[in-house]
Amino acid sequence: MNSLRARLFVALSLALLVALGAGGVLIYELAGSALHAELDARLDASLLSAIESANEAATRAAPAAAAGADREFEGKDETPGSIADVLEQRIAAAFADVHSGVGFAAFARDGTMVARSESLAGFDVATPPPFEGERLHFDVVLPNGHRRRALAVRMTSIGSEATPLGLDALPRAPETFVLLASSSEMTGRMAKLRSLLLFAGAATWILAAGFLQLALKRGLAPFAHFAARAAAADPETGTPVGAGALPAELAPVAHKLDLLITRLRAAIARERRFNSAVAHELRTPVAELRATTEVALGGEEDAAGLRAALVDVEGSVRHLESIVQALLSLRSGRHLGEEPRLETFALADFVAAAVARVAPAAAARGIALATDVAGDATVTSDAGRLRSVVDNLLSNAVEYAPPSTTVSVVASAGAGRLEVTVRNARPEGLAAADVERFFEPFWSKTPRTSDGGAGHVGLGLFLARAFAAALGGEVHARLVDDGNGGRAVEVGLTASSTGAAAAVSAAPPSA
Amino acid sequence: MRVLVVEDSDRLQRALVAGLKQRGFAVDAAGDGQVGLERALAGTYDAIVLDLWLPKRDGIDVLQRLRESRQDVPVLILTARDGVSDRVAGLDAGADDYLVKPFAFNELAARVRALCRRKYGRRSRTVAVGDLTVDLSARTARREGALVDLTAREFALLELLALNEGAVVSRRDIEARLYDERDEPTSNVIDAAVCRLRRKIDRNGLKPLVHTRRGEGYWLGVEGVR
Repeated sequence: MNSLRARLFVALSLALLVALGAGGVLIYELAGSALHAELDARLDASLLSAIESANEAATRAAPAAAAGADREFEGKDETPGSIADVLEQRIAAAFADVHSGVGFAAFARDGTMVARSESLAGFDVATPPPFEGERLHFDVVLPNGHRRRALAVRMTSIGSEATPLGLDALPRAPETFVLLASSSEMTGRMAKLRSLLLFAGAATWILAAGFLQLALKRGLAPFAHFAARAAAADPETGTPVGAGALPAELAPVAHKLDLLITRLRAAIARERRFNSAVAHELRTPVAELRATTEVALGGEEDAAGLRAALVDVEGSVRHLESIVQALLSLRSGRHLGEEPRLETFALADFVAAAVARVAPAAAARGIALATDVAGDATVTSDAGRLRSVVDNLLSNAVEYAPPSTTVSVVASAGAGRLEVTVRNARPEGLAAADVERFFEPFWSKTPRTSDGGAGHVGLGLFLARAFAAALGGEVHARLVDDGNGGRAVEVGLTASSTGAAAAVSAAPPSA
Repeated sequence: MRVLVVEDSDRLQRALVAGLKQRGFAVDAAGDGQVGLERALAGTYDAIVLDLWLPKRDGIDVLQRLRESRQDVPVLILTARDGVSDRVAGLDAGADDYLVKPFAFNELAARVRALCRRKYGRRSRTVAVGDLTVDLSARTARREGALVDLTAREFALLELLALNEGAVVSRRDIEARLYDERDEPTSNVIDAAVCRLRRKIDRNGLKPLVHTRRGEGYWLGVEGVR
């Protein structure tokens, strides 16, 4: 019942069943009304026919019966039996057949039945209900349980037409004449109609249910197709839902899902690359630690040997620590999750401090540092985050620039934009394709040994980009002409005052 | 057995050299792919432990050059790359074994020993020469069931002779297999080592197993059975 098709089928089947039932009842009622009308017409016709029959009988027996009849009525005017006899003689021709189902009864004003036909087989007929007008059709149930359709007419409405029946000659003139006809044929026909309607309704419902199933199956096939394709879609393998051959209503959903799958796949791939890179970076120092300690413990090292092993262990631990710290910085809400702490500071002082921090490392490699800061510009920004970005750019340049070359820093702030560009000579073998990979975590052009202490682990530029994004800015890297026919690596930060959370607001230098 | 370690991490290289030496191997080391390839092509090694991501020349490249030069020295790749594709690439390039960092040193040593045994066509961990049994894994020797007390260098010499059972091993081969580039064996150091080994193996009353082929070298075996 959880499927859309099953739910629709049940709902529509029930609706169909109700509609068929209502239709059947309507047909049955209409047919019943028609049959009643037909029977009533026959009753009306029977009344006229009975009068005509009695007329003919009276005409034939007139010469002999007239005198006798006068005598009978005069002598036995209060005797019901003789009245009945007279009545039977006069209208015997009209209601002779006991099995015809047709009969009559006559009622006096007080409701007393004063005459009835022999075809009623002696059963009393209930007094007709009061009615307005000249006639009334109604149903009667005889004491034997037989149902009859009845026509009650007022004698006054028959008038002289009733004279041949002799009813007007009865000692107590009846007020109401009731003509009865068997309704068994109508009842039978109604029963047949009921059976027919039930059978036809059931058959129609079964057939319609079958068609409904087929129609739902075909109509909902695109949904089933879509569901199957959505189930088969997999960000791991890149299998899309695919909007092809789907109806117009579902195509946008499939398209949107495919976009999400593509994004999810890219995110999964990024996460895996990152995790793989982290695992790879951790393996070497852990291997160093394990091998060094196992060898130291397994041999018969003297104090000097054990000290040498400990020195190596310390180096590996420092390397591990630098990786862990970089990872913690990456995930730390201190850098990326909290609101920026805005402060205003002089750009020149900021750059000078950053250059001073890398000066020792630069001096060790014979690297000269040159700065060019525009005027006395001030910057309003999160100094901590900004320092993380600039420090990373500078320390990378100092680390990887060819020895005895110059690393230059150009910084400016104006019109709401802060720009810091760090440039160094291109290291040997560095290609443009390598520059595009600068921001991948743990990327390195050449193998990075863990022997460099707590130096670069390959997350610096990756972190710089994340911090810059948190400042509403971005970091870029490219190969540029160095002005001397060679190529230089340029890595720069661009932050905008209109960026995320308005984290950076650069003020133009004062005149 | 003489092993070349090509590893760019100084600390890991030091640990590998020291640990393999503890286990009786003569070990040379190289810190980048270029030097590693040159030493592998020039030296006589029973096995090479090779990192993949190396400065100057990638480990896979070193391996391919080695195989192109018809050097069939067994190579164990020791790397932080743990992907299936990396393993497949390494083994397809001609490596005999693949071990991912971090690793248990005993496992590394066992794999290197297995590679060395395979080089000499031996699969069993023990070599029996007469009533002498040499356990290459446990690095023990028993004569008539009695444990023979040997130093690491003496066992390495016995191991070399046992793996070449019945065949003469020249002084130059012994020097090449037992001494790394940092050792500077004097002219009679091989003779002295063989002499010490003979004293421990061929004790009084036992049939001599360590023999000298004058002007050629030494061999291990039962005389007359050879």
